[in-house]
Amino acid sequence: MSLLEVTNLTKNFGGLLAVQKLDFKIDEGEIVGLIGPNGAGKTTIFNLICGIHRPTNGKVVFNGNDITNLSADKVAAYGLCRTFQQLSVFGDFSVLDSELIGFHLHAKNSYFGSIFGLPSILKQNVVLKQEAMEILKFMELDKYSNELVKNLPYGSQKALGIAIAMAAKPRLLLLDEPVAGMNSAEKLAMMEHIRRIRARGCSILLVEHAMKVVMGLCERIIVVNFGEKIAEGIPDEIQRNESVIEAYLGVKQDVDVS
Amino acid sequence: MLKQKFSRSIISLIILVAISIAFPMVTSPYYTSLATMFFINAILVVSFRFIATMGEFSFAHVAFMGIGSYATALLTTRLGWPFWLTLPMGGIAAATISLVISYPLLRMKGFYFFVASFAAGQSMYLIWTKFKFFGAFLGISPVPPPKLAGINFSEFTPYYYLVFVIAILCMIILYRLEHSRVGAAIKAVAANDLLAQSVGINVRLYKTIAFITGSFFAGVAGVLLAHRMGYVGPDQFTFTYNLYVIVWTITGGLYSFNGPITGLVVLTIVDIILRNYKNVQPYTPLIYGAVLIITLLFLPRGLISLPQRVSAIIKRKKVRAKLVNN
Amino acid sequence: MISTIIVNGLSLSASYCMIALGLSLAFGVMRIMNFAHGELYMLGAYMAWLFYTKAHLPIILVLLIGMLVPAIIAIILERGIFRPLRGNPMSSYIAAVGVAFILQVLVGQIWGLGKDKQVNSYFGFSVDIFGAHISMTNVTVIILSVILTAALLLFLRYTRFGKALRACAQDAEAASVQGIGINKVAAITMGVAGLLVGATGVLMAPISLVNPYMGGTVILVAFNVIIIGGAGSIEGTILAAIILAFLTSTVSSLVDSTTAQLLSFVFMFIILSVRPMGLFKRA
Repeated sequence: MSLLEVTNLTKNFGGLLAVQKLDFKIDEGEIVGLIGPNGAGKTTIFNLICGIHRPTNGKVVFNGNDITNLSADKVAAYGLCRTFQQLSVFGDFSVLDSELIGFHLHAKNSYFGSIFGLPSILKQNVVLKQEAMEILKFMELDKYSNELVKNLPYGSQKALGIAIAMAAKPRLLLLDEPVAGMNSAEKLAMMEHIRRIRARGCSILLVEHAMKVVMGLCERIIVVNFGEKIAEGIPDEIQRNESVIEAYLGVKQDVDVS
Repeated sequence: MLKQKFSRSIISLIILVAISIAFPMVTSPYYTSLATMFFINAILVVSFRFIATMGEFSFAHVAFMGIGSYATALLTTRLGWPFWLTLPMGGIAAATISLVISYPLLRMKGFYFFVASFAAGQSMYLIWTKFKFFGAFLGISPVPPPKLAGINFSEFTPYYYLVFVIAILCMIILYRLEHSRVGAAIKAVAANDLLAQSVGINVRLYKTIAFITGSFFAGVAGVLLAHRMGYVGPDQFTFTYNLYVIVWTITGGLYSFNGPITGLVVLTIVDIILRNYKNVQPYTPLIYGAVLIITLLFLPRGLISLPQRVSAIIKRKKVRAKLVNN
Repeated sequence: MISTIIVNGLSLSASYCMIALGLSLAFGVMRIMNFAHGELYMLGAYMAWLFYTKAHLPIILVLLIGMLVPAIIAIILERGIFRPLRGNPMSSYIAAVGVAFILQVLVGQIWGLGKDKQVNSYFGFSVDIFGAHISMTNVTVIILSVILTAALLLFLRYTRFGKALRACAQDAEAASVQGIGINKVAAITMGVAGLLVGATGVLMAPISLVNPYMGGTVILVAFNVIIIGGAGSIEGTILAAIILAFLTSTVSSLVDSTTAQLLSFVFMFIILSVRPMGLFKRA
């Protein structure tokens, strides 16, 4: 059984067919890339899978559970989380506080327990802080723990977005352009982080424009254009695929060969 | 350094509590009565801010205070219930009605939430004005004082201490909630609701928690108001009062727990001072309006951010001086 | 008589329409919600009292002053309050409330509280239309609102600026690409709002209680019309004004005005709950 099975996924925005009859699977332990020219529907596909939009047609099955029409918070409870390309963090929060939010699904968020200061709640706060620092260290953000998120450089904010999602302990992480706006060194560091996240037991589906990153990181790549799947395979095959090359031709700025 | 900050806050807290306890012993009953009103407003303003942490301003907040007032008035005068029962009941009544209107209301944002909460609050006001059940324009009176072990709560001083204790309790609860995972989730929803959802936070649930909790405490404040005045009437729960709550909150600072109370303290003092100058007193709303505008334009984080801003400016000047000298 | 009801309803619709039009435009295009809008109406009425009752200037002049003064103040508000707070709409709403307080107190202190000001009727006679006996004031309100609304519609459809306004309503960024300053757009929408609501204030002054707080009900009417009609839609505003005016006057005469107010609030809440974009917006 695959970890994620998407069948016949379709989304119609009042006449605009954004996604058409999309089928694909993701197995446990994979790092899969989702690429395509601008406006190909990649972010919409993410939104449909993780529950921000409801599909017009089709099914999304995660770990054997039908999550097709569930809202994003319920989908997250099943173990599927995502990051965002823009607005990736909680403005006005500190880095540590942001990270702590991510533990929501695995913490006791008791209303009355908090009022009465129950010992279980107090103990939990200590434990969660430790876990938060551990994840922040993993993403090399621990030195920023007391900084305000808005003071962080853009690349670190993106990394924090991933760190927050990790706190929810997902089994599949949807990464929306994780290296956008980063320089080469940062990109390499992020690629390494993503590999280590997979090593910790979380599968990855990522959307990216930076081709070198996609080719270097993903074992399998799905290519979409105008909401339809036009190719799927290993990086070598994709790079030689005629329809893929055609889709990108003339849209040079979408191909970031850095 | 953190320990220093912590003990400084504890000391200032102890001083404030001491002042509050000593207050009625050194002032006239008139000022004691004003101070009682201050603590009722304090509950109102802190609970208003609790709702505001979810990102919206409730224009029905004073109306929920009214629900608490009318609840206790009706229960004590018509059913003979004691104050100790009607105090939580006032809060529960307000919370229940806020739960009911939260279903449509919490789907709205910004201007629409503003206007819808206003429409809800005004509807309640008009219902109180119109129907004899609520005493129409004249309201309900007299509302009996609380009874406990022979203490005469119709006197200013005993009632002041009662309100003071209840106010402290309310603020402790609200403080605890805000600094818990519940409060953090509410703020996360306000900061980025999509991201909050993607880590499993039910946005609707937490907005509802914020709204009901804040409204509950508005109801409690209402109960305290009813027994202070001995009277409940629609004219106590006006649109203008809700505006004042907003002015206190914003002037003091929306972004911290102490902000709104600070705003309330400063503006209450301004108000009391102005009362002594008969020719300036009619200008009070104008002064409130001006303070509001100046705060929003130049000190958006409120008066409470003033020390920070000043020290930041001083720091910048020092750095610049250093650069010039080198 | 049915025709009396209809004509009086139309007159109320006309005033509701003028009160709401400019603000609807400002909100639909620029997300500006001027909570001091009712005070601009109040200023129009006071201009009528100052220049018609006290200074005995001709009606046309009084109307002009009553339109220009609120318009100028509206533009000043845009510059001083709404522009700096453009990134934070909630703050701008609250700041506008502060302006309302200031205007109320200033007007009250400069021209005195106590008895409401009296503005004498401009025409002092009534006409008979289709058997209905209505005052010339009401007729003027209807005529003027038709003229001004038509002018606004023509302006929006055929002038370069009007087209820019409509472009802004779709997408503020696209509009700035066309080289039209957002600041100009904002100033003009606010100015239009001031002109229209000031005119209404002048015309309704003889039959209103002229005091510093008369703007309170006006802003509520404006909100209600904008919400029902959909912000930014001229057609929607007109239709909503008619619906609301007839509803309010019918309930007022059948029951009482408190119930009419209560029902209009309940109606407002229901519309916001089920169709927040207004009854008439095409999806």
